[in-house]
Amino acid sequence: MERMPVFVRVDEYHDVLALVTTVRKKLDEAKNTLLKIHDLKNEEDHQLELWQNTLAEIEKKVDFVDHSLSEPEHF
Amino acid sequence: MTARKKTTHRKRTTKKSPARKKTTRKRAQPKRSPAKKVPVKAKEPGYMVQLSEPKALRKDVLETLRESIIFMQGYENFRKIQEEKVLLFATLKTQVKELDLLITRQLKKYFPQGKLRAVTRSEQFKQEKQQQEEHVEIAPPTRVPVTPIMPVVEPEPVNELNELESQLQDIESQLQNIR
Repeated sequence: MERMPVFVRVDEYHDVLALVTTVRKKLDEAKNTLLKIHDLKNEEDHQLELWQNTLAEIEKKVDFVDHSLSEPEHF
Repeated sequence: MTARKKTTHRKRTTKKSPARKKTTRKRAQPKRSPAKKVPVKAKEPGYMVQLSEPKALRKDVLETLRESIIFMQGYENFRKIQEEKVLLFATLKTQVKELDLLITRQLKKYFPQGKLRAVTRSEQFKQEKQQQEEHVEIAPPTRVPVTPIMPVVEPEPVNELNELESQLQDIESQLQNIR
């Protein structure tokens, strides 16, 4: 089928352009917000990782203390 | 002798302040019986454990304490981050809602509704032919009943989710028509 050009009459062309600009601005704002959320999520992940490491360290130290108290001959 | 002296002393005191006698009695606190001093014997442990590295042990305990405090500080930080995130989620929701309103209500009204098809040359030729025939016949002008485009009246959605779902279905059906 032969492709024919379709024309759409836009009475308020400038209004539409302004509206599209507004939509674009809003879209940018939403993108920025999402980026911030992403950053916060990364920060949260980092914090969780830190907690995990800290807990592992604490566990190691408690193990050492426990062993040195309960089985002193090994140390 | 000593007992006698004591009694005389008492008498002197009573003589000096006879008016205070009642008040002093009232205010006088009951004398506590002197606590019997029980010699507390320091309990010695039944056995003792020799710690080969007491310094290291102490250091470990202190470090553990420090790390648990840091952990708790981190928790506070985490909570702040989460609060901030919740605020940002709310902001994002409003922004997306505004976008949706801008597109569905304002932008959509500028563009024509309905399904448009491109007019092909053959169809155009047919239309022109029909118009010529009509001119020849001189048929009385008949009004073609224009069916107004009725807006699809949808029942009010129970909640926002249902509304979004219906919008999604509508868009999907439109997309299928385009394909």
